[in-house]
Amino acid sequence: MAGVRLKEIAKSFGATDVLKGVSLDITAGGFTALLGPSGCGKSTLLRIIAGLETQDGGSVVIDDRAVDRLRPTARDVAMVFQTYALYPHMTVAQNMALPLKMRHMTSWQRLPLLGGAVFGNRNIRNTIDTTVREAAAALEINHLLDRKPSELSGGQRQRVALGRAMVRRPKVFLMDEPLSNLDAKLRVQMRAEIKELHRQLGITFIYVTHDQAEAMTMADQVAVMMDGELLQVAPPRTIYAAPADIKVATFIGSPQINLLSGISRHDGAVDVPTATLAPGATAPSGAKITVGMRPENLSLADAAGPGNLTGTVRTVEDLGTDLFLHLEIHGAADLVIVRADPARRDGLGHGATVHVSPRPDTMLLFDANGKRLAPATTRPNGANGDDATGSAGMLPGAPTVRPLPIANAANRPRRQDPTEPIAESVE
Amino acid sequence: MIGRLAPVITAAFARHAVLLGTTLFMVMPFVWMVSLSFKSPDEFFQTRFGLWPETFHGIENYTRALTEVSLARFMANGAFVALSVLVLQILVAAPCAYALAKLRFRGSEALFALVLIGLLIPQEVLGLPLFILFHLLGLLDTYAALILPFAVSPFAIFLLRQFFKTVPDDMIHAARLDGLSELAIVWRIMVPTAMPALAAFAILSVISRWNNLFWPSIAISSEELMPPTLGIVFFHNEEAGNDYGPLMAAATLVVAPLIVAFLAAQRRFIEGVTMTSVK
Repeated sequence: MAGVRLKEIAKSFGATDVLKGVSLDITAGGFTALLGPSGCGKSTLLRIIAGLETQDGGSVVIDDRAVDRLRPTARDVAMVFQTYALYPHMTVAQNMALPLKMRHMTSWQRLPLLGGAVFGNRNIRNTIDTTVREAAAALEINHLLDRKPSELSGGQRQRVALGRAMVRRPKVFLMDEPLSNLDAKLRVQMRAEIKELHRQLGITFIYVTHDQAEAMTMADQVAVMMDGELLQVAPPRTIYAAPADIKVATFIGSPQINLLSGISRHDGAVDVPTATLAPGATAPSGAKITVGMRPENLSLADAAGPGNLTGTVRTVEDLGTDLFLHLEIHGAADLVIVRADPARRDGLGHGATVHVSPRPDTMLLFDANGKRLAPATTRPNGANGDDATGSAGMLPGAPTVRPLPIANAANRPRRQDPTEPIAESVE
Repeated sequence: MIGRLAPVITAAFARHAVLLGTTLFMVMPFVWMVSLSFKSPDEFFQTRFGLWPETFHGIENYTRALTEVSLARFMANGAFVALSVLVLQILVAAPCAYALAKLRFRGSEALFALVLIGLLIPQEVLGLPLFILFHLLGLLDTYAALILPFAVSPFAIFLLRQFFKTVPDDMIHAARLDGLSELAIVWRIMVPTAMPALAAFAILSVISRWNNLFWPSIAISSEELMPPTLGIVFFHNEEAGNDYGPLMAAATLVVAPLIVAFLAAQRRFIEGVTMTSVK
């Protein structure tokens, strides 16, 4: 088992600082997702781990050994690319066998004809052939071994790419947005399969994605990156329920988290438009505060009250399972989204006035710099790394439990269609 | 309907008329050569014009072409030289093109500019310097003199570089992770994916070697080293006088392999020059 430690990795392309001193500990045998919007430097970081790019500063340690001066192949890592990067002139079997041939045969033994006749490569060839067949069987692509990549569908190519990476049993398995070229349905299925593959291989997985659904459902540790910096490294449940930064809070979750700006009072309450909230975290009196509330942590109240928000319904989205109300709150910049029980739909038409009460222990407080203020007592939702989705996606073919209401990108407009919790890529 | 289609039909007709006209212009000398190779000497200087021979003299002409000079030897020389040049050109050009297309290093753009300049220099300009160089090396009148001046082809480097540029970087990254050295990437990944471009280049290269008269006429004087073009000139000087039948028969025989090769590789050739990238 090999852990990966990144120390102060810095990289710039020209005048652009792509990575600004990223430090990260990746547990041996774990599944870590590098999550962030496109252009945040996550792919560059992965390439630096693989040795395909050279960092300007910092160090990469794999298995307690600095690998900065090692060539990619000597680092013993394998990588799956977004474009799969299969060799178009080779069959599936040849694609998968190539890494083994390069490792276990001398250049003389690799010669066609002569290699077998003179240098006795038969045994090695047989071993390689067996290994390839076993991997192909595990990925259910053994009937495709004689085909060329151009004759395969996207999902099949994806499996071949996985197979080529896993045949040589690397210490670390790197994946660069491996699912983004697949359609939504196949992506959900492959998520479960990759998760299962991780369980079987038991090696360290580092998975780069801009799709929060992938990161949240597959990883046991999510590292959220933005603008070349790590904002938070934590289990998915913590990232969702206790984001360290307002940028993380808005990036994760669909519909997006509601943000209301307010002023804190001396007694710990916060004045926001139409209400005074008691969020349970402490802020200096008179400070500018942003209160974050997830749509599912708001509930309809029967009457106005000091702790209840009051707003006018602008849009109603009935998804059958959930009813999302978009409320205009007087004095607030953005619409506030509330998840309600569809049974309560009556009387909630456009223009209706409603009162909403937030669950106090779920409110997130951010200071003027966007950093979250520590809660006074309880942690919201008992969030503590217990990944509720951990077992859900593991069985291949099992229906994927809808884990967390999450979407893809930070800057998505609020009025997205949440009927599809794992929304299409926006990039 | 017809009224609207009329301009389209007229345009298509005009297009084909122009194409047929130019084709005729190109093909005529070739057809004339084949026609003469079947005619008797008496027919050459008749005022009557006809493609079909009055008396079929083909067997005599082709027999003389094949027996009086060692045409087979010339053609074997030509094939040996053309293939050696092609192999050397690919051996040199593929790594160069890979470096220019995919590796980042200081001066790569200047080097590529040099390749482009190399494309502009006509071979005839180099005739004299090469002659002196090979004289000093003592290599004149050898196979090496026919092969070495063409071992580096700027055109091959250019063509392959353009093709290699279309290969995704991730494929090279994958190859590096799979344990391939840079040279292994060139020969195991890049060159096989560039087969259409290579086929096109092979045809162009072989044709220009096979048809080249200028440099062999400077560098070669021994009959047993002569390529086919020079052989025909030699034949003309030695034997023909006004006897063009066997000469045309020899010329026809010399061109035939090229035509066969081109027809066989035509589809790949067009793929290669139109730069269809790997999918």
